[in-house]
Amino acid sequence: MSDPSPPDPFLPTLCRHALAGPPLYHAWIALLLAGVFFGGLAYGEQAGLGLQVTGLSDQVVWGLYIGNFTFLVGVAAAAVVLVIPAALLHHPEAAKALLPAKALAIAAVVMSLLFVLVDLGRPARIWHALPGWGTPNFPLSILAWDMLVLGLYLALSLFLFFFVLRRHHRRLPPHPPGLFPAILLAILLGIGIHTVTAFMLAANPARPFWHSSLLAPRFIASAFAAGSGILLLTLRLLDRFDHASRFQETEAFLRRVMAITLSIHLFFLASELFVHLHRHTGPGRGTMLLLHGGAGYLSDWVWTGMALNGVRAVLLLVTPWRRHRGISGMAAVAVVVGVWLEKGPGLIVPGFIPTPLGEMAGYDPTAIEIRVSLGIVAAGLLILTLLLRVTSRMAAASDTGGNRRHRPAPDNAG
Amino acid sequence: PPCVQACPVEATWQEPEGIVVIDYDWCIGCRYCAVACPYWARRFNWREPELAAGHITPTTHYLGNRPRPMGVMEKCTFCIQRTRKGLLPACQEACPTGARLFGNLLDPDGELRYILNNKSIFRLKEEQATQPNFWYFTDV
Repeated sequence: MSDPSPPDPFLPTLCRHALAGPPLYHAWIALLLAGVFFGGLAYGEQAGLGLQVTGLSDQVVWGLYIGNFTFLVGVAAAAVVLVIPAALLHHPEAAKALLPAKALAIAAVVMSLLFVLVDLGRPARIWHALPGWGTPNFPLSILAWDMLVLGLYLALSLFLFFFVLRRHHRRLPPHPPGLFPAILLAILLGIGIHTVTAFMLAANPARPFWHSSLLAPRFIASAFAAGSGILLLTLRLLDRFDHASRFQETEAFLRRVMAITLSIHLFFLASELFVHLHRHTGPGRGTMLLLHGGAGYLSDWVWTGMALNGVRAVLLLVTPWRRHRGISGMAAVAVVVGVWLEKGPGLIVPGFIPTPLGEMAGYDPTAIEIRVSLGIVAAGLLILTLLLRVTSRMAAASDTGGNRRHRPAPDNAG
Repeated sequence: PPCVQACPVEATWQEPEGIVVIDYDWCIGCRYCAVACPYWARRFNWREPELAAGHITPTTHYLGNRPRPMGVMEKCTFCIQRTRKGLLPACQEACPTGARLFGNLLDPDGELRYILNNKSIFRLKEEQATQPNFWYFTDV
């Protein structure tokens, strides 16, 4: 059973698996690279002319970029949806999907950090926040904390991903007991990054729309709902391109998680809405405006987000519908879009309207903002594609118990 | 003040005499301080400033009225380049009705202390507990 010759060296094998592939794969990579390039061009314009080319203003200082950042931190946090049952509850179906979950976390954190970077007025000065070189404002600044935990989570996710991948490659048991402390830390940091992001918003009494103790729990619930949706779609993609169906039970597990966390999130949302709207003061004013169409397209977004929430809640809670592949796929997409609408720009922008002095303001993202955002999404998808590709090539090889280097070149990922 | 707490890189702080200042060379332009400010008192430089040559005062302060580059925050500095030399802020000198007053809180015989003790005063958004050294007063 055991191959007497040692496995191929890790890094060259990694590169080979990442770069070699059928034409469709290369076309996809080329498309993503083009997306990154055009996003880079748009950012070049912004870097030269300044943030005046965005739709931001003195009244609405954060918009599409920070909205996307908030959403993606949630996606990164939701990777622990699978890590918790795998590591703490010893759920075998969850353990199988650890590598794709970590790949998603890495791509999401990188995208989040990129969105912060493009939002900064002086991005080259980001080193001012690094301990040692710069002067990070610990413990007072929640934004400093957010950068710290995001950096730690990224480093840890990268370590866990490549460590476990290498174990697969060398046909060793992928999760040695010594790894448990690192996995536990990843779980804590995963919840931590999204909680700190929620605190970053909720800690501002100047912004009553966010100043709620329920914001952090709401973030975790919606992140888990959206994250399980994205994970579900990712695993479906892996199954399809791998011509293997290794993740059926994991997907069933994720569907249940989606249904439960979505219901919890909707309950939180209903609680907040009730308190805001019962008396039309303070945060209620902003919310009222939002819901009653006073904020233009933002109101449409929020209503769409809530409608999507309702629809997919029904889809997911009714068991025969949940088990149906097509319906659960659509529900997963609806979860992701709905949470993005309601937690991304749909949460950030209304936080500034009305302004602390009572002024009504508006915000429309410009073409440059949209192009830069799409470029960052392309970069994230590129990272995700490469990581998933090496996962399916190298973890698959060890799953079926053989080192595949003796097989002829044509691979089966067409 | 919430902005000083919010800044992730300690680019803004309260000077000993009470003025909250910004180091334009350290600010990374994240605008979190503007998010935290309940008074809309902090502004961001969205573009490169258009300053005509010959129209810039040569009397500038590092933490005050020197030209601010693109991508950093700024705010009222209470004319730190003037008040540290015993002059009045430019807005107070310009005001024709004497509606503005800048002074020394610690001076028991000063005009500021007299107003705080004898006039009807209030602070804006007192419920935010920011304790600003900024009062409004009225004679009635």
